[in-house]
Amino acid sequence: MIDVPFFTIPFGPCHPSSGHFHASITLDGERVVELKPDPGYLHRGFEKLMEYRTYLQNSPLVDRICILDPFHAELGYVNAAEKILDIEVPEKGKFIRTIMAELGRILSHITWIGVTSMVLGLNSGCMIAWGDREPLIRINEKVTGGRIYPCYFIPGGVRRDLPENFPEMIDEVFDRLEKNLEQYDFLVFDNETIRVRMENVGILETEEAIDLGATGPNLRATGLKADLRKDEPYEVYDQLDFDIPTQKKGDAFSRGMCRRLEIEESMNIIRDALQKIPGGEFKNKDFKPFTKAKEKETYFCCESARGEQCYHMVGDGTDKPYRVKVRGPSFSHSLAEFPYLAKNAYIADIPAIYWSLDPCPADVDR
Amino acid sequence: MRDGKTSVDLISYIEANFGDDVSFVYGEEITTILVKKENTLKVASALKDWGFNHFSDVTVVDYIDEGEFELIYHLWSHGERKRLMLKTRIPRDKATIDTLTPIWSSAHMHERENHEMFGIKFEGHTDLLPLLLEDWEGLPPLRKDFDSRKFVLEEFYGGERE
Amino acid sequence: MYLRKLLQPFKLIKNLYRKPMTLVFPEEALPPIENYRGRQLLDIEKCVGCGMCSRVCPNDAIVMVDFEGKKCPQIHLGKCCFCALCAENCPTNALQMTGEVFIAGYDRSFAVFDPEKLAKK
Repeated sequence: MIDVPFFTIPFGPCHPSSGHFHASITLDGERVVELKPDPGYLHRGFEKLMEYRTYLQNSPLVDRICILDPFHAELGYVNAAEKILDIEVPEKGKFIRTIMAELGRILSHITWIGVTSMVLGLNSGCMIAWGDREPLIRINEKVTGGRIYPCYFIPGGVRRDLPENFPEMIDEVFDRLEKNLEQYDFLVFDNETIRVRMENVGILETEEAIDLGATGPNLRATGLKADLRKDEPYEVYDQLDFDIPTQKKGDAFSRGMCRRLEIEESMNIIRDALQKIPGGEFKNKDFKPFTKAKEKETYFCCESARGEQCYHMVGDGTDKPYRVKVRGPSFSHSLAEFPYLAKNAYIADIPAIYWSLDPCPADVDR
Repeated sequence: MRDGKTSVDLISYIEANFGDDVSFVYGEEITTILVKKENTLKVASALKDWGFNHFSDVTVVDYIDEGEFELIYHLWSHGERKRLMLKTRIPRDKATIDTLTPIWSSAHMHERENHEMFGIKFEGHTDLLPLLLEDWEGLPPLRKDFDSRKFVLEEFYGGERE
Repeated sequence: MYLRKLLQPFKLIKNLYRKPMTLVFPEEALPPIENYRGRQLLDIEKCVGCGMCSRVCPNDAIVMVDFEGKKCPQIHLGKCCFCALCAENCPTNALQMTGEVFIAGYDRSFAVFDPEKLAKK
């Protein structure tokens, strides 16, 4: 018998299906023996940069932490800063923030559908998804002034008011989106090839998932109904009426189905909020560019499109924060769950496992 | 839920089992307890038995004037929907503490990152290698005596602004 | 059930008659939007030289220089992140954001916009 030693290949940063992430895989024939993740290609040093800038100057910086879902990164920062600065937010400001955050969630899930189908070989899924993102990005442009980076939330409210014809814009875009969702079902979720590649692959049980630190749709696909919008409500989620979709099996396809059903729930939340929105002020005028903070510390978590995004902030009486720690949701997903799920899998299943966890390499490195 | 009051069952459980080793910090919205460095492992495993099964994060704050690091562990319980902050202090010049990986597996990578950024040694950890930076020799970058603006000016711009 | 699946590819024929989702640039460009955060525009009569834009900028891209007897801002567009904090905090509304996005040149020194260049439309 010929004795072939184990060999190591890179699942590298220049691979079309890995994003900006590197892992080195040790193989025995076609089976994976061990996988070692190696992040660090997108480390920009946000936590040190935020100590040199004031609370208002940090808000354009914060939405560059995770490019695929910038609204929730800003939402967490702004809520944590308001607890230290001791400012109240008017009701209309909270409603506007909830509406824009759910819009960001829909954008992120459509991007997921597009990239996963491209990675598994179906390029038309990607092109159609990018075409569906465009009307939502135009809404973003009309409300905030920028296409991808909104720079819209500040401590105390939002920077500008919603435009006059916002409900009509939303109705037009959502009618088109509902018709296009049937097209995704036909092309991606009922497709025989994609189902065979994603079903019964990368199965996760509930106990193991909680121990490894999973949050978000990855945990809801195993059967546990855990969502921070219902468990610890923030903004105006306790006044709105929505449901949380779960699945039972815990494999890669159930994680995808969870995200597909969440798009419809987010559309219901936006329509419900637009009917209940009050009038009045949209920002608190007591917050000036160089306001000083109290000596307090706080920890705030919000539910972003990928999981739990948290900010720990310490204030020391000056106008700059003493310490800011950002916890991205993809930190435990790509560094703890991915090596666990990849053991004893075939090498051809690795892209399907990796992208079903919805990682954002920028969240891991900050 | 964040209603400002702490749960009576949790407080009485902690006081019954640990008594003087644990002290409460009042005035915060989230329940916060302060323990000494030697009792961390004991208290953490009792908290896991009570129901805190999700380990969110470990944060380090550098109080350079007092000469100490403050370590904060953030815990969440899915069953009871409660949040807890576990704080402890270690001296700055001899920064070592026991690892919590045997209790929660997700603590493994968080401790590795804090070792690289602050220089804290976690005893019992199997894999304390650099995670995000490459070929870095010098002061751990997130400490307060490392000035990043001065470092960038000298290394990349030769001492002058553009 | 199988008959439905067999006939499904014929649904795609209607895609032949649909308009494509893309535009042929530069003949057809997207129309500019009024509140967009593009390049800055300065009104020299309204500027009082207070320096608020220079203090609020998160990237230190604005420097106050002497121009026609008073201080006016000079912006380095290579460092600017187009966040519009300077235009929002200007007390006399002298600095505003326009929708112009085609700013490119061949040299790095092209990016420094002194007050005279900022005032041109």
